[in-house]
Amino acid sequence: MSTVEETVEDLADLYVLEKSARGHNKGYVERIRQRRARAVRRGVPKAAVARLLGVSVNTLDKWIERGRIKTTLDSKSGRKLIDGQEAARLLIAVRVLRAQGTKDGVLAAAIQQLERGDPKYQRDFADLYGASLASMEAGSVRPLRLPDAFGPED
Amino acid sequence: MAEDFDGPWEIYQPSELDRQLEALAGRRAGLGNCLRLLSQDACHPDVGGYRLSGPLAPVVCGAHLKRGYRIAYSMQLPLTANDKPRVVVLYVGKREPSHRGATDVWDVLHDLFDVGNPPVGHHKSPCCDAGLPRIDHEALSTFLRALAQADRRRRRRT
Repeated sequence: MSTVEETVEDLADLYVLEKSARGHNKGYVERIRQRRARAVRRGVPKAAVARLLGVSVNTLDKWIERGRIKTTLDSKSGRKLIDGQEAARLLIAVRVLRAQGTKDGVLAAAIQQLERGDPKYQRDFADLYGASLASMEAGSVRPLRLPDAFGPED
Repeated sequence: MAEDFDGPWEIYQPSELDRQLEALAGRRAGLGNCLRLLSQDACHPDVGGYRLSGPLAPVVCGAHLKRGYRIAYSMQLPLTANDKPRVVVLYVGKREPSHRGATDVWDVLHDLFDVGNPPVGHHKSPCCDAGLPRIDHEALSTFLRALAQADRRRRRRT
């Protein structure tokens, strides 16, 4: 995975954390996310975004041509670049859809959800991630390790 | 036999479950084998997981261990692309012969969730037949608060 792809992954994870964080923590996470966003402020190559989303460049191109994914032109290379934060939001939506079992038309569904600010998506997000985030945040559940005294039949 | 479970599913527990797990050492309840199977597949047929009846049906699956013990567990989907899905072990306890009482595993579990334990005659449909059990934030928080209180009470008594 390239550095730019890792940055988009980080941004996606930070968006998820920011959504669950409370009080001062929310501000800290937001600042970290903004700093990470600066690393990709010039944009992310289409091929990198396609790899992250698990779709082909052709599929991505289709949505760019329709004006549904915004791009900027890299003045040096002349390549189309996708905004890093938009790529991160798409990545989150694609993850949620795949976790729900969606196999076909994942990118189309993700774009539509982000465009609509769909309340169902917000609810599904909370259903899918809410408990995990809340329990992680509280440190209330942790990996189970059997006690040393456990025998093979225990 | 300290052991981490390295299957496709991670096995999680509330901290308050430590004492219950320690108390199972030497009881030959078969918890370790059950957890190894759940780590491989949260719906592993050899676990014999079944849905609880009543208000906890969407949330909790149970399974029989050996010597009258039962395990109650739920599941959480992966948080990020690099995460594994989780089985969250909520409670392990003994089924009382009368199936009722302050120490009966299912009575205790329903009390911790602050819901009523339905009368006998449960269907025990397979755990994953109607999708995976899911635990939402509110239910998990209620449960963990109650479990922490119960643990504190138990510590004061001993």
